[in-house]
Amino acid sequence: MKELIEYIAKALVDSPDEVVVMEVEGEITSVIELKVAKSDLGKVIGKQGRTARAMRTILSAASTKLNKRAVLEILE
Amino acid sequence: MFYEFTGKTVKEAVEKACGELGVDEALLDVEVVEESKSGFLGLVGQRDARIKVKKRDLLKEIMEVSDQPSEPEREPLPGPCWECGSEETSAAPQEAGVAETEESPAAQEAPPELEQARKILVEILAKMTIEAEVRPKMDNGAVYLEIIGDGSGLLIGKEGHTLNALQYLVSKIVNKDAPAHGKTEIIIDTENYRLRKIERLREKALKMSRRARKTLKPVWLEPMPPDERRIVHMVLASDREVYTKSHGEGAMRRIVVYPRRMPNKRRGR
Repeated sequence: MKELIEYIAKALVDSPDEVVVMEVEGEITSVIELKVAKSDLGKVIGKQGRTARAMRTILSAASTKLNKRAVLEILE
Repeated sequence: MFYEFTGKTVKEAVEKACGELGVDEALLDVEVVEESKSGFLGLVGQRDARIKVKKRDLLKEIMEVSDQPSEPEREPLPGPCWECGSEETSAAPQEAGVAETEESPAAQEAPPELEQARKILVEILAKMTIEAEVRPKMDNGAVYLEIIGDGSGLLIGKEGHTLNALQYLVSKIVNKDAPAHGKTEIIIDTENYRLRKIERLREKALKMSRRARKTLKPVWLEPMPPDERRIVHMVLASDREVYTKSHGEGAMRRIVVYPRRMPNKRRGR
């Protein structure tokens, strides 16, 4: 799941080198933390949080398939 | 058929175009001929923005194709289990086939965006651990990617949310550095979801039109994304007893179907 978010985030931002993704895995729920350059924050959040929502939607679809749950947190 | 409009800004020109042609912005193909220039202190060298617009008709064509075999009242579409991707997708796929062969000649040469978009989608699907094939093609200037998957409906999601999210993200990535009016339209489809959606929207539009005519009151539809609104506008564009308008901003923008004959006024617009 980490790779999924990492790929999408890197493709969206202007400074892909500064994208850091960490995954804290739990029994059922894992938390994925996304960190990007300050100037790119808007790019991964999007207008009214639309980009962030789209990423979360895809993330839940992907984890549903594995009978798991994943939460995406965008760190400031 | 192209019409030309000018305005202080591109936005203003587009608004003018909508006003004069009497259609919603969603129904126009806008091409910017010249951006506006503010000039020196707004005095010297000021130039208006010039745009060329064309009324869109791509979905109308699809609709006309799917019109022929069915009366609007009938055809209940593949049952309530669209989400579970059944094999019995009755009439729709064949109609899709017709639309494909008849509509492509104008868009033969594939732009680099086609391959780029395909690659991105394939990559995302792989990382979602979904095994699927992606078939790309050009459709009226838009990049059309069809996902051939296991038919589980996982990629569609509730009300198409997952499919829309994929489409939104791929389009966002492909158009990352594109100017506002030079964006490539990306359509991602699977199990013919988009065509079935068009059918469903068409039926809803006709139903709302009947209601507006009967009650002589405006009917408000729920908020919809631009592409869905466009379909409703188009379906009702030829309806002489009602007209449609969009109200609200952003994600809350919704269509209102107005009866042309209002209770007190003899003719509204």
